[in-house]
Amino acid sequence: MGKMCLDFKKVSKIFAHFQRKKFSVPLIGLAAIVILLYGLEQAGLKIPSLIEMSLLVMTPLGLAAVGESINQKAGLINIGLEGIFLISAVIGVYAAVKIGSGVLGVLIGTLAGAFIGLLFAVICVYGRANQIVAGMGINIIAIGFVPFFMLTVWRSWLLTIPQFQISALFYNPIRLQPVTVLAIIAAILASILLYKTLFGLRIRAAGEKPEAVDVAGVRVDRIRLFTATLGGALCGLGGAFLALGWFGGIVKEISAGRGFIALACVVCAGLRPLRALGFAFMFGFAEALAVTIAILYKDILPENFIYMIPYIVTLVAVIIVGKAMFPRAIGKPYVRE
Amino acid sequence: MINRIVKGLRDLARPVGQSVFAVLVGLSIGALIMIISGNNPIAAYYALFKGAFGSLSGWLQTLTFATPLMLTAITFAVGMKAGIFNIGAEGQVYIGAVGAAWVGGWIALPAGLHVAAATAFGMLFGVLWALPAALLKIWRGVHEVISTIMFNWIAFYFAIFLVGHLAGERAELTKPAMTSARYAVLGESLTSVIFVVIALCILVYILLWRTRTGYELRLAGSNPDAARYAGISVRRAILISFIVGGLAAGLAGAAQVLGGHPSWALFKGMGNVANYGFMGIGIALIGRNHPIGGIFAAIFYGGLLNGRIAMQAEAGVYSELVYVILGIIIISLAIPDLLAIVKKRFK
Amino acid sequence: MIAKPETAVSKIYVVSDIGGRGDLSFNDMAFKGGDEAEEIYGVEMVELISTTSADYLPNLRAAARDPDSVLIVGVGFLLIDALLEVAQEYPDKNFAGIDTWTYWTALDAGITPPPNLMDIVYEEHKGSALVGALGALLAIHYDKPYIGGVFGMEIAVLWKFEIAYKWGAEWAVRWYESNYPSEYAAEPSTSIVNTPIDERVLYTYTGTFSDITKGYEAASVMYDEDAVVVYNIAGPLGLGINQAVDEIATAQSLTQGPPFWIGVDANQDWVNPGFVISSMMKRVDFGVTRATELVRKGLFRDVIEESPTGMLLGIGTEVAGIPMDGISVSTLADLDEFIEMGVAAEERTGESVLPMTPDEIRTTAAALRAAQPSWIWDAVAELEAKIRTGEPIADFDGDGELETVPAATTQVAVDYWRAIFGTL
Repeated sequence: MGKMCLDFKKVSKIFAHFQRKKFSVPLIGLAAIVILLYGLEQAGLKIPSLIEMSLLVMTPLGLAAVGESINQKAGLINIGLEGIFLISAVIGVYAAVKIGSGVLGVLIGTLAGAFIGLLFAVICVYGRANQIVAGMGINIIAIGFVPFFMLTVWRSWLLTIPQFQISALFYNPIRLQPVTVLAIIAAILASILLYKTLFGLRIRAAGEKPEAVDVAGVRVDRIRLFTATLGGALCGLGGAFLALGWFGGIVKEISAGRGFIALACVVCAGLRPLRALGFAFMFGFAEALAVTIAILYKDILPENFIYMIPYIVTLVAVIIVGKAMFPRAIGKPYVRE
Repeated sequence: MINRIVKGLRDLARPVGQSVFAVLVGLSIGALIMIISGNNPIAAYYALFKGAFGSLSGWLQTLTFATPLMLTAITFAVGMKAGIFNIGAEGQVYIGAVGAAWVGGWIALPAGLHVAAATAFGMLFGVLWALPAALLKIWRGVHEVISTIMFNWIAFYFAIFLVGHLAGERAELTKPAMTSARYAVLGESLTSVIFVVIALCILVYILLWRTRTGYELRLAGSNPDAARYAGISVRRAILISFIVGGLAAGLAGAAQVLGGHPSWALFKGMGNVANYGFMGIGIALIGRNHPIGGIFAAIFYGGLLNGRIAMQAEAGVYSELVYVILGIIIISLAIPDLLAIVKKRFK
Repeated sequence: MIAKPETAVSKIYVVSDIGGRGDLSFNDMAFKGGDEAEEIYGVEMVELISTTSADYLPNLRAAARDPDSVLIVGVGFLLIDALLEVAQEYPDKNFAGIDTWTYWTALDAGITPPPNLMDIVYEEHKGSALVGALGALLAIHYDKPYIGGVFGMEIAVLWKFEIAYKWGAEWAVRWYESNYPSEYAAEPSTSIVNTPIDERVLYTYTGTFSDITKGYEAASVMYDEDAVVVYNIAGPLGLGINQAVDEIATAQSLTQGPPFWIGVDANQDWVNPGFVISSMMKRVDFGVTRATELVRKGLFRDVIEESPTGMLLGIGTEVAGIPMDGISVSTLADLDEFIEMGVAAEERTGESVLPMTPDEIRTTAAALRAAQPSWIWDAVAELEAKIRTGEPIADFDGDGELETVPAATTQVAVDYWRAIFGTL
C-alpha cells in the first residue's frame, strides 16, 4: 500500500506541474472540440445540429451547475438538484397551463426552485441539518411528488402543451433558445459576482472561513440563505426550461438524472461558474455525439458506455484535483459563538 | 438487572422518540397533501396500514418489501458510524444483482452450494463496486458523496449493458436463476433469503458493538482525532465501512434476484432493484444508524410500500405519495435537534 | 363460469406495468378498454399502477382477493411470471395478460398452463410492415433516402416491430419497381430506392420508455439525415419525436409534412395533425373489452381451451369464430374515436389536451392525407389485402421461398434478418 502511495505522489506532481503552467481546462476543452468538430465534419456529420443539441442539453445543466457553484462556494452543498429540476418543471407546467403563458410558467418554475433552495438553506443553516441527507431528501420527495401531482391533477404522467412552449430567438445559423442565452449570461455574471465584487469575496470567505466573515460583521447565515436561494432559482429555471423551453410538455421523469450530471459539472469545474458551463456544454456535446453515433455508426461503442462519460470524467477530475477544490467549511453548519 | 434494563430503555427513549417524531411529521404532511388534493387521509392511512399489517399475507408481503431495505440501510449506517456518507448502495445493489444473476442463472452447481455461491458472488460484486470509492477517499481524499454518486450512475449503465449479455431467451431480464440457486418461498413473495439478511444485520451489529474493530470504527467516525491519538487507523476504519456496506448492498441485489419470486432474475431496466439504495438512506436514519434499528425501520417502510397498493385501490390516493412521506421523514431526521427545537417553540 | 348475481357490481382490474396512465399508447389503450368495458358491460374498472416490478405480485393478488373481481388484466409482458403465479393461486378468478406468453413460459417451467389465464397477443409485425411500406413509399415520393425508427428498450416485442418495419420498406421498394419500372429507373440518387437495402432504415434502441429527451435527440439526428418519416416505437418518446418535427416545421414555416412521424399502439394522429401521417394501432382496448365480454358470456375458459397459446388479434384474425382485427393502420375514420378520448380527458382534467379544436384536427389530418398521392395509399391497401389472406408474399431473404411478414421474436431471427436489412 505504501509503495502505491509513493507512485501516486509522483503522478500528482506531474499533474501539479501541469496546473502551474496554467493550462486552462476550458481552453483545452475548446481546442479539443474544434479539432473534433473538424474531424466529424470530414466524417459527414452535421455540425450545426450537433451544436444545437449540445446547447439544449447544456442549458439546464449549466444553469443548475452555475447556481450550485455559488452555493457550494458559500459552504452549502445541495445534492438535491435532480429533485429541484423535477419539481420546478412540473410546477412550471402547471402554472403555464393555469395562467395561460409559457413565460410566466418558466418564471414560476424558477420561483419554485428558489423556494426549495431557500427552504433547504433554512433547514441547513438554522436547523443545522446534515446537507447531504437533506439534499437526498429533496430527491426522494421529488420522485414521489411529481408523479403524484401529475396523476392527481391531470390523471396522466404525460402532458403535451405545445401552445405554451417558449419559442426560439432565431433559427439561423443555429436555433437558439432564450433560456440558453440566460444560462450563458448567468455564468458570466456569477463569475463576476464571485471574483470581482466585495460580495463575492464574502461569499467565498463564508465557505472558507466563516468565523472571519462573522468577525468582520457580515452575517454568514444570510449569505448562505442568499446563495442557496439563488442556486435553487437557477436550477428551477433549468427545470422549467426542460418542460417549457426544450419540450412543450412534461413526463414524470423529465430530467432523467440530469441533476446529477449538473453536480458532476460543478465538481469537474472546481466550483468555477464559467468552467461549469463549459463542462455542461462538453457533456451535452458528448450526449449529442453518442446519439448520432448510435444511429449512424452502430457498434463502435455501446451507447451505455457513452452515457457514462460525464461520470467518468468527473471521477478523473476529482482524482486529479483531490479534495483541494472544495471550500474548507463546505457541508458544515456554521454556528455563531 | 432490572436497573440495567431500565437504563437501557431510557437510553433508547431519546433516539426512538426522535424517529417516531420524524415519522409523525412525515405522515402528517402526507395527510396534509391528501387533504389538499381532495382525499380523505384517515381512510387512506386506514387502508394503508390494514393492507400492510392487517393480515398474515399483508405481513409477509411487507417483509418482502423490507428485506432489501434492511441491507441498504446498513450500507449507509455503517458508513455514518465511520464518519462517511456512503450513498453508493444504489449502484452496489445493481452490480450485486448482476453477480448473483450471473452465477445463479448461468453456472450450474450442486444444490445447496449453488445458492450459497450465487449469494456470495452478489456480495463480492457489491464489495468490488464499493472499493474504488473507498480507495479514492483514502488515497486522494476524494469526497465519497461525489464518487459514490458517479459510481451509482456508471453502475446503472454498466448493469444494463451486462443484463443484455446475461439474458436468456427473454431479452428483458437475465436468465432466471436455476432452481438450485433460489431461496425457498415462505409465503406470498417472501423467500427464505430474509433469514440470511437478518443474520447479516445481527453480524454487523456484533461487529460494530462487540468487537475491537467495531469499536475502532465507531471511534474513528465519532472522534477521528481521538482515534488517531489512540493509534487507530482512520483509513482502515473507512475501508472496513465500505467493505461492510458493499457486502450488505451486494446481498440486497442478490436477494432481489435469488429471492426474487417469481421472476428470479434482474430486469433490464433495473425495475426490481431501483431506488432501494436511496430509500436505504432514509431507513438507516429512521433506525438511528443501527443495524437492528434498521430492521424495524425497514419493516415500517416496507409496510408503507406494501400498504400503498391497498391505499390506491381502496382510497384512491396515488401510491407515489409514500415516497414523499419518506423524503419528508429524511429531511426531518437530517435536522439533529428537531424535537428539541419544536419543544422549545411550544413551551 | 362466473355465477354472480346481477345486483353486485362486477369489477375488472387493470394492472399496468411500470408507468400507468399517460403513455398515450400501450397502457392508455388498456385503460381505454377498461373504460369501454365499464360502459358496455356495466362493470367497474379499477386501475392498479405498478411503480416497480416488485409491485406486480401484490397488485395482482390485491385484485384477485377482491371478491367482486371477475377479470384481472395484466398489461405487458413484464407481468408474465407474476400472472402465472397468481393465476395458479386463484384458480376461480379469470386472468388475462396483454402481450404475454404465459402458455410457453409455463411449459418451459414444467407447469400445466392454468386454464384461467389467457394470453392476448398481437400481430404487431403485420402493422409495422404496413407502416414500413407507407414510410418507404413516402420516401420514394419525396425523393428522400431514409426512413427512421425510434425504439424503446431492446426487448423481444420490439424486435417484431423492427424487422417487420424494414421488411415493409423493402416490399414497397419492390412494389414500386414492378408497378412503375420506368419511374423506378429514373429515381434520383437521393431516393430511398437507391439507398442500399441494409441502410434504408435509420433506427436506434434508446433504452428507455420514459426519457423523452432521448426520443427528441434520436429523431433530430434522423430528420437531419433527411429521413422522411420516423416511426415511434417507444410510447411516450413520441413527445420527443414530435418536438423534433415541430422545430423543423417552425424553422421552415411548414403547416404540413414532410417530415412526418408515425404513431404507435394508440391513434396518435391527433397529437400533431399535419405531421403524424398515420399510426400503427394495436387495439389493446379491444383485447380488454373482448376478454370482459367473454367473461360476461361465460366463454372465457372455453376460448382458452380452444386456443391455449392465446387470443391472437391481428389482421384477419378471429376470436371464438367471430372475425376481429386487433392491428390496423389508422384511417381518418379512426380519428374521431380518439378525438373523443381527448375531449373526455379535457372534461375530466379541465386542461386543454387537444392541440386544436376537433374540427380543425379532422380537417388538417384529412388535408395531410389528401396531399399524398393516391398510389401510396393504394399500395399500402394492397399489402394489407395480401397480409389478410395469410398467403406468402415475397422472398426477401433469398432462401428461394416466399414468406409472409416475418415475426422475429428471438435473437437468432433478429440476427438473421438484420444481416439482410442492416444493422446500420
